[in-house]
Amino acid sequence: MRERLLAIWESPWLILASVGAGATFGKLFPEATAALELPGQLYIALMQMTVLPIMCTAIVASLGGALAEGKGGKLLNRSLLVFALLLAAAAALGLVIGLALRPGDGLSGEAQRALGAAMINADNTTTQGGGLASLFSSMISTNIVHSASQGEMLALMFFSIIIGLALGSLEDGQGAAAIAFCESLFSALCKIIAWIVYVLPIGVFSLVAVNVANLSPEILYSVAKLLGAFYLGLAGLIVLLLTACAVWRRQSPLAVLKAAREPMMIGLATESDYAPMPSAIVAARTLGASAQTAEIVVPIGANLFNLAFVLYYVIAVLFAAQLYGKPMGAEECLIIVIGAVLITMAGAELPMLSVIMTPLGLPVEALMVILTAIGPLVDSILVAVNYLGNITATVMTEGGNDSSDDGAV
Amino acid sequence: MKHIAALILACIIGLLYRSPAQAGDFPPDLQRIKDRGELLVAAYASDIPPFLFTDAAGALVGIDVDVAEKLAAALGVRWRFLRVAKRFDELPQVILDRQADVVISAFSRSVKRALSLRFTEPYVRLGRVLFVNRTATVGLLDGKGDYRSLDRADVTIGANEGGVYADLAHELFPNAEVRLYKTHRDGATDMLAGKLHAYLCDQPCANAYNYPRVWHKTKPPDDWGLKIRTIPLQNGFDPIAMAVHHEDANLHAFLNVFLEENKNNGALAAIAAKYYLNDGRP
Repeated sequence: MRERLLAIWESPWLILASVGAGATFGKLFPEATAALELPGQLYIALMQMTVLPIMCTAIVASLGGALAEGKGGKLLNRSLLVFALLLAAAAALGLVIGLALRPGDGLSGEAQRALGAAMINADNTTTQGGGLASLFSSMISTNIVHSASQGEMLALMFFSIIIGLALGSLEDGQGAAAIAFCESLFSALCKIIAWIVYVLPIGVFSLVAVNVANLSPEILYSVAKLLGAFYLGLAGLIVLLLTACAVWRRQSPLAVLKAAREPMMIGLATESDYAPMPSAIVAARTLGASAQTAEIVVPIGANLFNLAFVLYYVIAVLFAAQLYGKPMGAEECLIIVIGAVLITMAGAELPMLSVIMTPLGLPVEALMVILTAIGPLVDSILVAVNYLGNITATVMTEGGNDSSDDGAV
Repeated sequence: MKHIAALILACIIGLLYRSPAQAGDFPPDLQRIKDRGELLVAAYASDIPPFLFTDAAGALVGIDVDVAEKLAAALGVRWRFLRVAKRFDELPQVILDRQADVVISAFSRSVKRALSLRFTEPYVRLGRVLFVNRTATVGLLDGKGDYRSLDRADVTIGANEGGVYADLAHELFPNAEVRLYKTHRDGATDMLAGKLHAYLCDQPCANAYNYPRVWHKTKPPDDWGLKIRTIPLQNGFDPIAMAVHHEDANLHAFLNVFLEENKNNGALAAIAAKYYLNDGRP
């Protein structure tokens, strides 16, 4: 009986049911969701509490170990190549969807007025963020303890890579003790995550209910076609990733989805870019990646290579171009693709869209208003698909079915 | 003989005697209005909501109408608007020609106009704004929307001709090309067509386009908000004041006392709030 209840509790269908129940509750009783904000935020905080130490220990232990075995450089090079291919695929899919569906064409007068009113209200309250230079300046920390207290993930990731490389390159096994300590700590943190995931259905219900209650429907009706394009693009990306991973590991796409469901569900529920990381490492190992590969590539992917955001920004910029009647030729499409990849690596913050929009002569505030409004309907799905992409890239970095180092978990 | 002398003396006394209601108790400029029994107000010919416009029933309403009504009541006379000026800079001549007693018509107080008229203290202060074409100014405006970055030779700024904003455009953007328009609507049309980078006007004009109310007869086009951004200017306000003939010193003093009293008792603020003057948001 106990095992049966546990199986039901851990079933992905219960998670989906929690999402549906939360959405329904938030729609029907928006005022009551105020009471759910605290449980939801506490759940995210619990997840976030472990993310930073998991990322650091995973990278240090695995990169140090791989380098000590002479495999670190090859692993990093291969992961970068795989990510580049998948990013290009995501961008190409975004271009096809955006140019074929043309979501920015033919908006009704009412839709234009609604969007215009939202932009007028947002004028002079939005500010532009840093450009691509911020990617590099935020990567190197002048005070790693301060960066840790501020949750500056990019700086901590870079520091962890450097420490891992340094420990792995120490002679006569001097780094072995530190690497082993990180491995133990990582295992303990994964245990904590497993405990936290037990209350995932409750956390999901609270978070989704609050998000749905805070939706502003007026602008959503104005951009229904854009939302449709996003969902179609994300569905296409999911199919692409599942197929790629399945073919690579000679498994069925359903088996891949089953392995990846937990990190995707965590991403869907929490919208956190880092909370699903520990679960994604486990998922990648389930699909055949070695512990070393998973613990290095998943954190790097979570920080720098979020595939779904590339697709999202490509479609969004094409929408803006169509809205303002700007024709997009081959040169403009290239600017969009390269810009989307670069700003995704730089942190994917909305104000960075000016990197793409300004050269195209498009006002960035248009997209900032629209994407902020539709965020509650899209952001959680983006995180889920990002992690599917991350897991796929990790598995493909490992090699084909016959080339894994230590097999599946 | 005695009777004739007494009669002549009575006539002389009668001519010299003045009742309290007759000329002599009021200075000449105020007496002129009292004798007429009507305050004549010079105003702009077209509707300028929320200052002066006709409502759905055809009645003349607005901030200036409310102020004129109170002023006329204080003087104990009726009021009538003479909407004869097709441009704002025609209003001074209406006063100088003695066609009207006072200008109450969203009239901006300026140094140039003060050369020929006496201005009162402002009864409202208007924010100044810059409409900016979003796509035409991509890459020109910085992230904070600092309008000074538009002061370039390749930028065209529009403003209403005959108003203070024409001078302000030259003052704020000395290097840019300034183009003048008869009406705000003409300027807005060119803005939407991309022929202007920006257009200078006041907060009520911005409210008419961004937050149109029932009294704004012409609604903005559907893509107004998509294409046009509104930047409030931080360099001061546009003082709206009454103006009288430079010889009407007593009328001028009376108007200032009237305004001070109605400022202190909250009446002016209530009138401005009634028409959502400086915050047009619903």
